[in-house]
Amino acid sequence: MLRNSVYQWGTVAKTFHWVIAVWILGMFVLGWVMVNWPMSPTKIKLFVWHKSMGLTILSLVLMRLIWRMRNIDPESPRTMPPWEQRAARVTHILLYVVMIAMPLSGWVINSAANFPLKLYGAIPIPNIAPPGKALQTVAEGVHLTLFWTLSMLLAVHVGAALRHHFVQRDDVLKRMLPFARIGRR
Amino acid sequence: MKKLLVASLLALWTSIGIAAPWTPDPGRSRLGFVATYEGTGFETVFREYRASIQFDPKQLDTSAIEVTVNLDSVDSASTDRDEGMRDSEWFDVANHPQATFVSTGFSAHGGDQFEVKGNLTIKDTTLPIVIPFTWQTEADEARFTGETVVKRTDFKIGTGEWEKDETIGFDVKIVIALILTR
Repeated sequence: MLRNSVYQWGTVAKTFHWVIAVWILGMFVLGWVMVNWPMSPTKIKLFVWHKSMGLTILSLVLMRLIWRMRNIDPESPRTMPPWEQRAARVTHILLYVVMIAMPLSGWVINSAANFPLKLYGAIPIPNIAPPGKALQTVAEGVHLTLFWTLSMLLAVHVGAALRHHFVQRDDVLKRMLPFARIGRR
Repeated sequence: MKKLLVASLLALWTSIGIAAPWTPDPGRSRLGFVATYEGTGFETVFREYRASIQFDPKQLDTSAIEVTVNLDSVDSASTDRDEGMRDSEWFDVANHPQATFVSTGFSAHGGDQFEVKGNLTIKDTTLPIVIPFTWQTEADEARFTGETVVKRTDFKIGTGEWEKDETIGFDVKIVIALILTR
């Protein structure tokens, strides 16, 4: 099933979820490696990859959001208390906000730092902010804060998914797994 | 006293047929270069430089240009990049704060087109370069517009890992647009 059902996420939603998840993890590693790399052509290449992947994630997230708004969401298990459902909803909304704000703040850093950017060395990307050290510093602060916010949100997100699976023993994790089959109950 | 000295010097220059040198109006002049980063050009200007231009299209033999550039004043509208360019692998401004150009000869190429040959010194490396330029005078102003391409590695700009052109291109276009008064 490409589309979502009330029981589980469709193939498109699952693909978006896992592709973006892997890319975000890749960005964590790449981001850490590149800022610690000594100034060299390799460092510049790493930055170009980081920026390219970040903007790719941004476009994937926007497409994912459009797809999600044109689909139903699987229902939460009936056993889930209302506060948990609200917490899950807030966490998911925040995840989307950060996934959009983080590449945008990175884009602002690159614009304010005034480095020309070609996505994957090929697609020219315009600047979205005027050059300036002050703006660059602010955007860098925002980007780093968002990194820590995202780290915390992911800890909550992954922790909750594992709790659903191993403690609550419901379908919440399974229905997002690539090849899991969910029986109707 | 100082005024008198200047006046007498001016009188002397005029009497022996050499006019006072032209100097750029800093607010309206531009001296810089265009280099490439990841295949995309970026413009850079120097905020501090001195130029003394003794030029008469009819007296090329006695014409002369001297330019001194404070490399520390490099400005590419990117603080990070400017910092990088000051590093030892690039301009190494700590050890080589200035670049100079001293003309060695001129040639006319019709109308307002000329060429100046001279020695460009950056990082203790002196190499002859040729700069084609246009010379236009209007009222009491002159306009010097020229550009030429140099290879950065000839001047040891970008050493070590930067000696390849994979991120920063070899060709650097020097761009000169001076509005001169005297």
